[in-house]
This record gives sequence, structure tokens and C-alpha cells, in this order.
Amino acid sequence: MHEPQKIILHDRAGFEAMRKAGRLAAETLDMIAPHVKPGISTDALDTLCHDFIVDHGAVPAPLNYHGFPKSVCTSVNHVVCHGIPGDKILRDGDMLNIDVTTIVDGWHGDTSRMFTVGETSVKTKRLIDITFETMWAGIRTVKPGATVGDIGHAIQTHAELNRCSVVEEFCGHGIGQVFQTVPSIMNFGTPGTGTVLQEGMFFTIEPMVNLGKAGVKVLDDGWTAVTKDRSLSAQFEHSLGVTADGFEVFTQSPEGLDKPPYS
Amino acid sequence: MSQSRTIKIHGPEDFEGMRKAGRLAAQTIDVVTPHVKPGVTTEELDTICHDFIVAHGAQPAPLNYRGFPKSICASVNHVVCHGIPGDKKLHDGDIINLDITTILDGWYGDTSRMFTVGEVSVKAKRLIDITFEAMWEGIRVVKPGATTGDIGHAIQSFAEKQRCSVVRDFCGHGLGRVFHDAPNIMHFGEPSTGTKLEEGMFFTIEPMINLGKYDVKILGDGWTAVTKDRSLSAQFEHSLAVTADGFEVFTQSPEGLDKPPYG
Repeated sequence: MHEPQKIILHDRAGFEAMRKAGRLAAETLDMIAPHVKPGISTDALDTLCHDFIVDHGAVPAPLNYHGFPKSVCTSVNHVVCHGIPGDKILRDGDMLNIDVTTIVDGWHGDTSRMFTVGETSVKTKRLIDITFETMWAGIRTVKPGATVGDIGHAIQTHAELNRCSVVEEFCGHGIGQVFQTVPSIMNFGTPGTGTVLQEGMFFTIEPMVNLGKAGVKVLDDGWTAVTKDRSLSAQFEHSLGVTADGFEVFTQSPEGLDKPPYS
Repeated sequence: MSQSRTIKIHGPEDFEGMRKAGRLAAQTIDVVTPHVKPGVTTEELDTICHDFIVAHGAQPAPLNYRGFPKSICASVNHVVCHGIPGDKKLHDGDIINLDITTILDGWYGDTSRMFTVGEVSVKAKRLIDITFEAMWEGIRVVKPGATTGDIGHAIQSFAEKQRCSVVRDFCGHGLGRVFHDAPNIMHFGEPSTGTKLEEGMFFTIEPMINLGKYDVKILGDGWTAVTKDRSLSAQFEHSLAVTADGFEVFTQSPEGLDKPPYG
């Protein structure tokens, strides 16, 4: 049996459902923001997110997804993505990505943001700003008739102009009533190539940007991806839909907590 | 949460898990074989397979997979793949593919074979033979250092030499502890392009070959794929691994029921 390769074009009801799922995911990140400070464990952050999501009648999608053991991903410093919450205590100067996916009425809202812990270095702040802008460089290309290669090219160009590199082993993905489906949204590419975007497509844009080289390796837990050169890595992510004249982001922060500093 | 593009390399214990899951999938097809005859409905075949799989402590993977309503796929005549079992009765002269995936101890074994119902035409027999050989043309190129393009090229050049066409819209896939994973195995391609194979990769090879043109369309049920020109379509599938010096097929028929005629 094959995975369906056909990209679903969603109607107005799909947009409505994704707004709800995306909003809850964004609210979860808003809720967690004041808790991210020196001395807290990533497990404690996971529990807070899990309980918030469940209290709102939703399900945290990562939990048990392909065997993932926790409800959110927490990726600290040189961890690129898929960091597993545990007893690791956050310290002054750390940065981390928290990645939340909520399932609301069967629809998936997927978003992640960077957080700084206490006072972080200038280069950390710079990487976070570049990564945020890199994600938006990708998002702004989205409209009917553009291609996934256009998105990847915009992302890669922005990151590399800032002397950073983009990770190639992980990518954005189609989303909706399924967590991860077609199309794959690479964070690199050539303009005019790949799938042509159409109104009603839903997917994530989620570049991982490294201060050092692009190479990553996955640790023995089968999940945690780290930079091979142990350089810092950052990521932001939104879920969005292609509209008649552009895009709609489903996971904007209701509190306006778009990127650090949040207070 | 980002989609992984990395390909899992499996160890010796993983091979053991896949041998068991693959064997059960192959046994399921062996068991259903004598029931494939004029007058039986595809739903009855589904029930036989479902009960056999469950009685052996395993689960049928297609059931509820992305909303698929049955335990196996049953694709008759011009149905390319993902036919949904129902009250359709098999008639003398039909050809049918039954596609089974078992989940045993967390491992996925995925295989399919063609069946003939009563007496079938010479061209139907010829298509089945060509499709069986096309699958094996693809399997035989598998070894460390070969590429996914080598597999696709072997299948495509064999099928086209016989004046048949290769379906483009569906492909083989990585599997293991998940149903569908990287890499995608296209059944057409250029030699030496694509992903380089390494020992420990697990994937399916499952060419769909049409007597007419390769175009397909999906029916209103969202699953059933048929040839646009309504020409006959056939498919065989094995799950296999790349070994140090070649390949290991996990889904060989214990009873030697490799292709029709079985009786």
C-alpha cells in the first residue's frame, strides 16, 4: 500500500478548522513563554504544555507519534530539532526551540518558536533574528502559481546571505487532518521548480538555520538531531494555507509573542 | 514538528522483526489464495485476511490508515491500487491484486500479489508475467552503492520494452517500525541518480504496470485509483532490505505461491 501522493485542496471549512487548531498551538506557546527561565527542566515545560492542550479538549500530536515519548519537542542550543523533554535544566544563556502540535477536532496546528533563557550572547540573538526573518522570507513567497522551489530558494538565500546554513535533512510538510503529508517543503531549492502551489493547500514552513555548517546527526535515542560541528541551531515554524491572493498563517501568536525578547 | 528526510539504517535485531512481520503478510496471501474464485466478494476476502492476521497476534495496517475503511486493498482489472473491498463479486476472467500489510510487534510487513479468477485472457496473463518480472528486475539491482534511480530504471526499461507503461503517481517507500518513510522508490528513473542504497535500509518495491497508458485517476471515494484509459493494470510487491552483498526479501511466500497460476 502506498502513501497517497495527492495534495488535498481544502475548502472554507478546512480553513476554519485549521484556524482553531493553529490558534490553540500558538496559545500554548504564549502560555509557556513566562515559564522559560533558568532552573526549569524541559520535562516541566512539556508537562505544562501537555496539560494546557488537554485542558482545551485537544491532543498533543507528537505524543507517541512514530514512538516519540513526549508531547512537545524541546531543542536546546546545538540541538536542531526533535529534542526530547527530560530532566535537563535550562541555564542562563541557553536558547531553545519549543515545537507544539495540537490536534483539535481532528485538525493539526503545528508551530514552533525560539526562546532565550536569561541573558544570551549577541550571536545567539543574531541567529534567532536571522532564523525568524528566514521563515518569513519563505512565507512571503506563498501564493497560487509559486512553487515549493521558490519557498526553498527564498529561505536558503536569506540564511546564506547572513553567512548561516540551512539544514537539509528535515523539511516542512503538508498538514491538515494528517500530521505530516505531501507536499514536502524543503528549506533550499531552485526558483520555478517543484510542486506548483494552489489555493487550499495547507503546509508548514519551518527552516532550521545553523551558525556553523549544515551537517546534522541523529543521536542514539533515534530522535534528537544535533549539528555535527556543535554550532548553535535555531528554528521557527508556522502552519499556513494558500489563499486566492497569497497566504493565511494559522499559528500567529494571539499575544503578539512572535520572537524573543517576549517581555 | 519537522518531517525527517533521513533514512533509517537498521541492525540485525531489526531484520529479525521484519522477517516475522513479512512472513505473516506472505502467509496471509497464501491463506487467501484458494478463496479467490468466481462468486466470492472482495469483502469476504478482506474478512478472511483480517481474521487470519488478528488470530496471529498482529494488526492489518491499512485499517483506518488515513481513513482507509478496510484491512486490505483489493484492486480488480483496471483498478491500479487502493481498491476498497466491498460487495463486488469476482467474475470468471477477472484479475485482482490483494495488498496486505501486517503490523507484528511494531514492525510492518507489506506485500501484494496478483490473482486470476477462473480462466483469464492471454493478454491478462501476459501483463501479470511482465509485472512480476518487472518487480524482480528492480529487486535484483538492490545492493549497497546502487541508487534508487537504478531500481526505477531497471523496472521502467523492462516494462516499456514489453510495450507496457509504468504508473507514475504511486511509489514504493521506506518502512520498518513505520508504514511509510523515506526513501521513496520510484518505478521509473535514470541510472545513478537519487538516493544511494546502504546496508540496513528497508523499503518496498511495488511497480504498477498498465497494458495501456500510465495515467491514473482517483475515484470519488478518495482511494480507488484506476487507469484513465480503463486498460488492465497489475502489481506485485515485496518488502526487502539492503544487505552487505545484495538484498533480503522479507515477504517471500512460504508456500511458493509466487505468481499465478497457484492451483
